[in-house]
Amino acid sequence: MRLVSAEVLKIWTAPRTVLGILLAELAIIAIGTASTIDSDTSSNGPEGIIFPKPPLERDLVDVIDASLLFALILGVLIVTWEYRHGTITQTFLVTPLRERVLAAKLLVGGLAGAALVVPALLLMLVIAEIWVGDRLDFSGHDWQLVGRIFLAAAIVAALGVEIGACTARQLGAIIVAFAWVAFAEPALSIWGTLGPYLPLHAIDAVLSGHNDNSISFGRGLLTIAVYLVALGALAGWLTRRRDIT
Amino acid sequence: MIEVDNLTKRFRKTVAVENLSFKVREGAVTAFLGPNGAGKTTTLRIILGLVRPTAGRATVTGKLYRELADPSREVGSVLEASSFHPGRSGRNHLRTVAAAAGIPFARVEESLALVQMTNDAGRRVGGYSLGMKQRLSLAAALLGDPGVLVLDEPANGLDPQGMRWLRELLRSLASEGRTILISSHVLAEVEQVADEVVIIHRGRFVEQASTAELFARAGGGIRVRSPAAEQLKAILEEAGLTVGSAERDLLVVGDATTERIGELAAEHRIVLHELAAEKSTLEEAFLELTDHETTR
Repeated sequence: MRLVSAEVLKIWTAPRTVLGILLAELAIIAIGTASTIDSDTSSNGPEGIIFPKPPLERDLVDVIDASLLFALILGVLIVTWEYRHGTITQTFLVTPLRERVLAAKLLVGGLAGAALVVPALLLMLVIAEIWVGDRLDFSGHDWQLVGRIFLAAAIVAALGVEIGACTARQLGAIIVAFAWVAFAEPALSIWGTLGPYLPLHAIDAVLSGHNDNSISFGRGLLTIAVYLVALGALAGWLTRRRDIT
Repeated sequence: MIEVDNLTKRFRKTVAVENLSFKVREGAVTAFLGPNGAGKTTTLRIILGLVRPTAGRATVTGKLYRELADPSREVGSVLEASSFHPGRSGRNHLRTVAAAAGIPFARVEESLALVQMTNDAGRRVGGYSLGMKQRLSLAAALLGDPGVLVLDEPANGLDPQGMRWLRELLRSLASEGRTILISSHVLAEVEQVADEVVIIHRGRFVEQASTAELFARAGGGIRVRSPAAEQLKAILEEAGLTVGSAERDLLVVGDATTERIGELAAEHRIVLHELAAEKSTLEEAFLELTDHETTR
């Protein structure tokens, strides 16, 4: 509990980075929400022909998926800013059992990642209410999807913590994460049987439950849990062995 | 209290520390000396569990650092003055350390007062001078009121006033019976507070001795000034003493006491204008020992 409160205090007492992440997230959500509503209100076909499309509420919920990117970055930073500023020395002097530090960071990172969804959700709802409030009717299924975004954000932030602990370098960790998202996973997805079990696909299964080429929610959650445990074990091993010079 | 036993650390092909062994006596201030790159910082980091030794072990109160039940209350350390988040205030930095160590925040204020940083504690560390960061590092080291202090170059960045303050603080901490291991290149500062000295060079052990013993061993000779220096020199050499001439009327005599020289001069009715034992400094002793190691 001591370590968890210390990790929360570290975020709370150096708020600039977190505020930067938050502002960037809100900007993306505002743009995403506005363009989704605009596209919905202006995409009816000519002469009254209506194309089938998902309900606006579902599209708006999808907009806050963007929070996951910022949850990942926050997770990475929770570890790597300690290495960057050298505060990891003090952290490991106080808690020489480094696995405990990593466990506290995983917990706080997961919670902070999930917390990042709250302002995104609120901003989306405020914009939507002002713009098309009279048309909106979020169903129970929509709120279930929102709940899944909270869960996915916590998972992604925890993965970010583990990537950060493996690389111990801020830029390195972010490059690794983006290289995976942009190149590695799309390339590996070529193998049909492997594809649905890759991390992003598994997270997608957690988010939406089903897709054309997706596994079920439960299987997705189990798959991502395996990744969390495996990457966590590697992060713990590297953290324990790393010389702090 | 602190025991370093056959410690070796290699960073790829570089040997930073090699078969190093020494003990730091409980309740004493021990200066840990060596030229730049001697392996002092690596050794201190191994003692503090931050660097894994390639071979050997270092213990504090008989345990590896990672085995200590409550490290912050047992060992305080100052390693480098740049280990702070620049956007965090000094007070908040100490609070994060206190929170992790389970130390009440009231102790943060006490530590800040101890290092005379109370007035600046609300400012962001990014705006601190090097000396202020050193004081903040010391405050963090003292948070748990530990019995052992490991300090790596704590005088770095301190102005003369800060150096005097540090010296007095160390004396005060030592007088409370704490064990202090302090590495420094400001030898003049260390010699005023250290009871013992451990010297390493190129990662290897060179010497461990009490400060007094080291001064005595380095030896400074006896300065003798006399208008009859030539005559006195002959008499002293005849008595088997080693005599050097620094100036026309000044002799430096080795392997002798002031009493013996005074008696010889009186016996031969030679006037002396000065008769004094030259006090060697720790720096001279250190240079002599490390030069000797370099030429070996």
